[in-house]
Amino acid sequence: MAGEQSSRVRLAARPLAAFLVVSAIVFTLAQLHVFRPGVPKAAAGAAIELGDGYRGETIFGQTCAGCHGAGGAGGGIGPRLVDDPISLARVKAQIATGGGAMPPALVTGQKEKDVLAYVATLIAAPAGGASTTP
Amino acid sequence: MGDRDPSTGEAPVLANVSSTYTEIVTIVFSSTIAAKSWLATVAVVLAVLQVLTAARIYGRLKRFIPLPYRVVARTHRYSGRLALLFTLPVIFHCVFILGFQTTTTRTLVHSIAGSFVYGVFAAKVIFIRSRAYPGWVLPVAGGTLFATLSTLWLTSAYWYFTQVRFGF
Repeated sequence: MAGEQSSRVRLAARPLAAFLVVSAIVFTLAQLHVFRPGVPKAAAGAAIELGDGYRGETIFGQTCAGCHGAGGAGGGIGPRLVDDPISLARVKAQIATGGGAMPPALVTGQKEKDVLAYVATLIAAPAGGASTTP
Repeated sequence: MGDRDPSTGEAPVLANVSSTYTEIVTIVFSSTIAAKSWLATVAVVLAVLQVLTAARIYGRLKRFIPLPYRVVARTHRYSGRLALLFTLPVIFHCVFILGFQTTTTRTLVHSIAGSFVYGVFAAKVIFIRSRAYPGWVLPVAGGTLFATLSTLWLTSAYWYFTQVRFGF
């Protein structure tokens, strides 16, 4: 009787333990998310308002990638943005006023904030991030 | 180890993993989120196949799936393995790059379900490998796994396709 009960407990304990251990590992890794792309790289101490980088990535793909390349990796007529030492304030100004082959105000309002949030994860901020202030 | 990025305090190698992942994924897709949405969709389609073949294994849907047991069982096994493979790049991006997020109800539900999905999978593997459990346990575990995966898809890919953009 007692043996049967203990084997039942053991039967239930194994999958429960596997569930808890694996879930705990995934949860812990998600909390650490060690490969996060900076908070965002160029936005440390920034006064520029940033939107949703997720949406920004999509808007970037539709509006900006034609010139700056997919993921800002370059390849079009626009400069490569990945690891570009440009400041976020300069990016914001470039979006607003345009310049070169880039027309002004390609994205505005919330879309601009979203794109800035995404671009901030691509560019390399100058040391200290002071230039991110508008 | 190495020098840290003065603006973020992060080791450059950590940030580079994110950019490298983005560069690889955008060879095919327009963005990392589009890639994840499509990979998750393939995984969910395979999960539907899992449910259908599982039902056939348990003697249901004989009219709709008139295939021999061996073929159905093999399809069930391989579609499961394939579905798991398709979730790996997705979980890598979600867990290691994005992390557990609580900014909206959608992201909170997604993060919780995402934390559990591999736990449910691990428990299901134990149920598959042992004959000591009652017959109802495996279908319940499979159903729970399917429900968790569906929740993950609804709170990410479905949201993306309907609220942001439908495309590659």
